[in-house]
Amino acid sequence: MFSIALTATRIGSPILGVIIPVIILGLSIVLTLMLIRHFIKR
Amino acid sequence: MISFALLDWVWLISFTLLMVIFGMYFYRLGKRSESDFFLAGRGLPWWLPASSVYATHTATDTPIWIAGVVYKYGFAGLWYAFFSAWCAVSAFVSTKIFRRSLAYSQAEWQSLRFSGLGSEMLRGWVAGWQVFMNMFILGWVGIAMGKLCGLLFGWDLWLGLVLFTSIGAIYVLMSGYWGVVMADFQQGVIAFFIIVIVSIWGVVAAGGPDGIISKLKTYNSTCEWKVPAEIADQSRASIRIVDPETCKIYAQSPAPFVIQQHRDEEFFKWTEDRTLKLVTDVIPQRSQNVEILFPGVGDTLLAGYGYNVIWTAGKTGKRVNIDFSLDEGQTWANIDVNHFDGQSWRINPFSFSGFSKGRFPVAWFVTMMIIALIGGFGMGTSFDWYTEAQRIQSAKTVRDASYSIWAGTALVLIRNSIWAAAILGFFVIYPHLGRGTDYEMGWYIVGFKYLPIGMVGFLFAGILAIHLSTVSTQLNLGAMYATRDFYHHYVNPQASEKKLIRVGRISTFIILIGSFIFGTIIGEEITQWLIFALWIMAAGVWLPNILQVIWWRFNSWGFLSAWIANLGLSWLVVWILPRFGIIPELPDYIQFWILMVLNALIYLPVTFLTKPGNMDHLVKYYVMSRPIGFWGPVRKEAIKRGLLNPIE
Repeated sequence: MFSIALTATRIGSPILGVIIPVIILGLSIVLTLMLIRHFIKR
Repeated sequence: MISFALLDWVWLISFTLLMVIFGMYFYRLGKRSESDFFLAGRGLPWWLPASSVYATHTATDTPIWIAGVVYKYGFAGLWYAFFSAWCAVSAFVSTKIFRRSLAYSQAEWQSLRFSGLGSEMLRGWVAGWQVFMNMFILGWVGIAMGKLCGLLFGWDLWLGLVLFTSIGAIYVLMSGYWGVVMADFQQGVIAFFIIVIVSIWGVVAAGGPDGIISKLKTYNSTCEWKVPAEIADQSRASIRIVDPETCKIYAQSPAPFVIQQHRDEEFFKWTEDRTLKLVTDVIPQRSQNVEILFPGVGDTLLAGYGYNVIWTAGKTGKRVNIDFSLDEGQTWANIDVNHFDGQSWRINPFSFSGFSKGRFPVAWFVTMMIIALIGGFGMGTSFDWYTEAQRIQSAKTVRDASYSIWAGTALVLIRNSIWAAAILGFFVIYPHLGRGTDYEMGWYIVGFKYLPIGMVGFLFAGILAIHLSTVSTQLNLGAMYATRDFYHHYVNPQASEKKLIRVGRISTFIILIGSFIFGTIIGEEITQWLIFALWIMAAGVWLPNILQVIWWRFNSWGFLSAWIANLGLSWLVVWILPRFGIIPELPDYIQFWILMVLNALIYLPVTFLTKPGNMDHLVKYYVMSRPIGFWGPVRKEAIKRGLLNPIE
């Protein structure tokens, strides 16, 4: 069944493969730093 | 196999490092005390345990399960996952009672609620059961990851299991629950985004929401049929579609087709691909005459394989019986009760197969709603309670505990709906799949097939986040039962905090190794047996789990007898009596009600024939936990002793 997945039919510009992960990685890092700061203050 | 571009590796390594380093960062907080290592010092704001509830209950096998039920039953399949709604009631009832008790674990709560020898036996039993079950769940989700890595990268099963569970174990061993809950927050965010993104891509690939709805309206009808494996080679078979009320035959195979015994994946695939066109072909002028499109004249089906029976959509919204015959129509056996009129029923969340007939009856739905909603009054009525209990105790106040359970479960239910949209899109693209093992991979297939380069590595990072959030929780939870309820309670009650944390880490390591052994030996039979074990727990002990919370007179002997009786009765009702033909094989929701009544006939007399719990112990528990329900005599005693204000 995974042969279906092997014949990839990519949708969307390849630039999305950079932009979207960068935004989410950035958001994750910001949230991480905020969380660390929250508990250091306590 | 999937090939990763450089960009895919960049995202996978970046996200993995972020998750693991963040979990390890809380090493210094985790090693302060037993309370820190297992409950983050009971000081967390509600949104942290809430994100942990959501992240923990999103495992690598969850999208497989949701894809299976939604592909099969459409949006109505989401009700299968609605059992988590018990938290909606629990957040205001059992969550509050449990948080006030200050018990570390459900096993410890048993010894606060009950007294004497029975309470100790219960604590030991629950703790042992939990250590074992956490090891089993770890093996289960670990091998799901191993299988996924095998499909994606061609790895041996053990490699995906050992590598990715060990990555999670690094920060659990170092930081304990602090690492678990903090990494869960981050993993929950990553997982939520990837679930939304893959679902959007799935819906777009299927033609958008309007495209999905309009295609479903034009598709022909299908009904999944797993051809019985025991049918003799070269059997000639026919199919018919019948009105169950009037017995009117709507359609019948014009000539028999052949069923063969041998296994031939290539041939099966060829037949399956051919049926795609039969489902999606628009029949220009639909008439009252329904026509069976597959299997038809000249078709050969393989015994033991799953296919879809396909027929032109009927005009009425009736349910019909799909039957097959092996003796030229002299006798008929039922395949299923199914929708007659194409595929548009899939977008209706209430498209049941009848009140008590078919695979998706209303009676099942009502039973499930009762189990979920009334179950919220008890503790342990759902297996998820044990992970939730740890999150409840880690919240800083009773209110935070309530909010966390409510919000975490709301996120789980929202997540399921987002997944369902992607799976409906997947169905529109591949409406001909008859094998569960194929369509259950639907969500993963959508992601790996349609996401652009770079996003594939990000998708795998999301899958890893899903995996780590589950394994980290089970590792720490299993270690908590081993440390708190065995070592600290029985072996060394005077142990120092340092010693307890060392034992916590050793327990985590032992559970990790146990899960590897479990994961590699786990087979279909063991899994089925353990799912049965979980089910009987839900069936026979469901009501006692509620009674122990709301009824003062229910004692430890009553609860223990319920457990023991349930073990015997469930074997009788589910396996032994049907095997000897004494009772028929019953649907699971009927088994639930029978087991509930039969069990009550044992534990209620045992409760009344044995003494109530010690009043001092009950008063102490009542004052501390303030349970709701039937606690009149204990409350009166607490007021008499001046421990409770009468107007409270």
